Amino acid sequence: MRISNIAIKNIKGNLYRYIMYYLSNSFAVSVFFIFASFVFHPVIKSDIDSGKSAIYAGVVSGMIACQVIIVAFSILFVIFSTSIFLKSRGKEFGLLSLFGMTKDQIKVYLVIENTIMGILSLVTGIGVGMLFSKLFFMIMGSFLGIMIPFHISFKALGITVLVFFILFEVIGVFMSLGIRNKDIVDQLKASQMPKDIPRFSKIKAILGVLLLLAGYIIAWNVHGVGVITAMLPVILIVVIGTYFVFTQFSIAMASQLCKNKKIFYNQVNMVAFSQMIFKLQDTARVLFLAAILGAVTFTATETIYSFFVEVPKMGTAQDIAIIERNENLENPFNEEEIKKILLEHDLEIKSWDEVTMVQQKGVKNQGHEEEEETFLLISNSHLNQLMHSLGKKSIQVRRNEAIYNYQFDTIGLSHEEEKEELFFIKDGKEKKFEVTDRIYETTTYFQSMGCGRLVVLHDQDFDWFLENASQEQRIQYTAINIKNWRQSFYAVNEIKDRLGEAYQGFYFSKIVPYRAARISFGMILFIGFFIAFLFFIAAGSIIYFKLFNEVTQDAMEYSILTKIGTTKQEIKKIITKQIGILFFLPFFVSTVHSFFALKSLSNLLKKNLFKEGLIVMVAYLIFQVIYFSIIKILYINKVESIKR
Amino acid sequence: MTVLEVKNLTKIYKTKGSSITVCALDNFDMRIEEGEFVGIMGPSGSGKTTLLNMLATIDQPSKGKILMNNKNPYELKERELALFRRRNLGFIFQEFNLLDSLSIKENIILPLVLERMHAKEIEKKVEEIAAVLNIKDILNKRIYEVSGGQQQRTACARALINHPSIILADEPTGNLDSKSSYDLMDSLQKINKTQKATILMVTHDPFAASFCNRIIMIKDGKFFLEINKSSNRQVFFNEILDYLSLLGGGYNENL
Repeated sequence: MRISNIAIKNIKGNLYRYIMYYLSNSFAVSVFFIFASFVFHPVIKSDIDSGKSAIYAGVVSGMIACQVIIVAFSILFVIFSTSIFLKSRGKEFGLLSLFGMTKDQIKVYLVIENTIMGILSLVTGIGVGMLFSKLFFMIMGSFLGIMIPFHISFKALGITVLVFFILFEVIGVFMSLGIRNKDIVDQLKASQMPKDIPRFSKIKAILGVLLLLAGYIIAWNVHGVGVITAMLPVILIVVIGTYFVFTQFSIAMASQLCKNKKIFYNQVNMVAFSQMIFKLQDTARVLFLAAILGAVTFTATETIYSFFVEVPKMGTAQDIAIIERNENLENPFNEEEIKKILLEHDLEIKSWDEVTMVQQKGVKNQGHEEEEETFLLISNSHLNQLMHSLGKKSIQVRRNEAIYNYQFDTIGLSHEEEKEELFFIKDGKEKKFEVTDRIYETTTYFQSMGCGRLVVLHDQDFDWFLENASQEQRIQYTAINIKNWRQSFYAVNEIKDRLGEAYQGFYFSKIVPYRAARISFGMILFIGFFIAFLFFIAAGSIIYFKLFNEVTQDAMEYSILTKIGTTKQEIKKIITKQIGILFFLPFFVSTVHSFFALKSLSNLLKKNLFKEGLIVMVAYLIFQVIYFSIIKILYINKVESIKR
Repeated sequence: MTVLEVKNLTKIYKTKGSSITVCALDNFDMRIEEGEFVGIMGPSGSGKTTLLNMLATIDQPSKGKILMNNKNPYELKERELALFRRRNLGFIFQEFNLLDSLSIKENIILPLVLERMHAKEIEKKVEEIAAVLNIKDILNKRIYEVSGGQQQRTACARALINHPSIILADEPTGNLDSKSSYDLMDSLQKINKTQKATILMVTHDPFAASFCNRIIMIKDGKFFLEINKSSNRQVFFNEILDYLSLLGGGYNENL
């Protein structure tokens, strides 16, 4: 028998320990390979090389960024997992040394073991990646609107193998160097060393909670630009707080719980809780890492998902809008035709507003400087008509005053509240208006035409401008709102064709940019999902690793309990409670963190994003419950198999 | 009153996939009355542990019957069996089998806690038993903070606290030095006398065995002979030694 045989036997025997580690690595390899296959796909590559599509280039660079994240994450994950694993194997190394294995041989043994695991992960990962790349290409193809045929790229294969093989090997060699020269006696005793009673510092426990609270309060209350300024300090505070909560506060809580005799002296609670304290202490750092990893994953997913839902809706006004000016004013479009098209598509018209605006040169005076500009004027009643149809509050302008209607939401920008006056000289007469208010609502599509704000005037003031306006100055704006605008895509395109060339650039709809944004965010969501899922299973995997390191010890304790008459159900209850806490405590913390992050984001975007956050969280919860159930079953089976 | 009755108990171990069978226990009979302190002795491989495992209801007999308080525990379902163990049996093991994560006191009260007894009553009982076993001072210590002898007395207290019908002890002195062995056996004897506890102990150690009232020797899975304590312990000890040499099987190495 050679060292390699021992290594193979050891992997077989310890398969249950390796399994989640192996699956996480395989998944990382799969995703990396699939992304690489896409990047190197001939269809995509030829299009980029010929400069045909800038979108593809964007997608490809996004994927390369994801691959970098995967590799960086894998490095950390493998280092962390290996170090946990090596620590738990002191006794094994002690025995091997006792039988006369030299330190170098042990290192070789570890490297061989690591290589086998690496090759297994690579083979599985690439195999699974090939299987699913067709599906991935189909989905990406539908996002991009092209056909991407199945294709195995040898470049992708080569890069995946090279990157991950080097990664596994280098870390393996590096970690095996780290085995310390302990006395054999100590190594043999390693697993029998009694654990100290977990201690905690009251101050640190309270500090942890206070830091978290502080972080949460800040995150909840910051608005506008403050969100961006506060982000880094809040993240730092929360991360430190989380660390103390896991390493100190959790133990303090559990100890407190053990002091309550009513709870503690209740059947299995005594065993479950007291073991829990030790488990919490052992795994605190792992749980902390899992919680932070989870928080990052959840927040990122929630953010992208909220963007996916909210951003396409932002900055759009009416469902359909048509602008007529110059020659189009002379031969207006046929209203009946448009109504007929909408009717044919079963789209009920909710509102049909026709408003007139005037383009007028004028001078803006902000007190210290004057600036000439072309303004777009609208009457108070017309604007209110548009606002009413959009379900927004109406406004009032007094004579000789003006209100700016900015066509965008202010995202974190501070409002300019300087005094401003407008001068218009028309037919030798000068008109002066004082700007009294500014509202930030998207009421028209003029933003798309490069005009960021409307000037709202009193009806009588406006009429004077309208009467004296030339043909070129007038703009006719037709705003149509329909029920079920989400179904209006085909109708909108038909109207576009009907209106023809003359209206190109003067015809707008909600659905077309909405669909485009939705597709691009959908694609980000889809690609991001792989990374999120990788993080998610990796977070679970490190907990699993820690848990299974002690399975032999735990099984022994459970066998003692069985002997003194604890039923199988009671033992399952204990196990469920313990694994449940280990799995759901970090999950809970991650969820709370991400909700406060989402609140900040809501403050920044001035939107309520909790509905979207909740959807994402429920999805993750379902995954987590499934993950938990599988690991619980694995664990219980393992405990029972050791007992026999 | 008969606490335990064993009739024609047989255990045959079969190895999966091969035809090799080992008869660990062969038509064994035994009867233990309330308040008895019985020792079971025999060389390695004589079937002592097999017998004890079956009495502990953690192993199924191949043939024969075990009656505890006239009930056959093997007719019970798995869950009921666990409850039966909890209420009727007390265990003392060679390796103490205490839970590291619990304190001494918590280890002792574990059976009561599992039975949902009131905290006050639990406190009372633990004080009582700790006084008998002389471990009152260490109740709040952790397992690894006390000596092996104290650990074993803790295990004793755990076995006794819910007043089981019978206490099964498997080589209780196996991991103890001679002083601790003496203390432990003395305690067991005291419990047997004052609390009328029925104790069945499997042991290798003639010194420990000399505390019993009756010794049953087994060899190759069969009943070999039985000795009753007639006078004082010293005499009984010598008697046991004599019979052990009769039993053979390398017993001399233990002397």
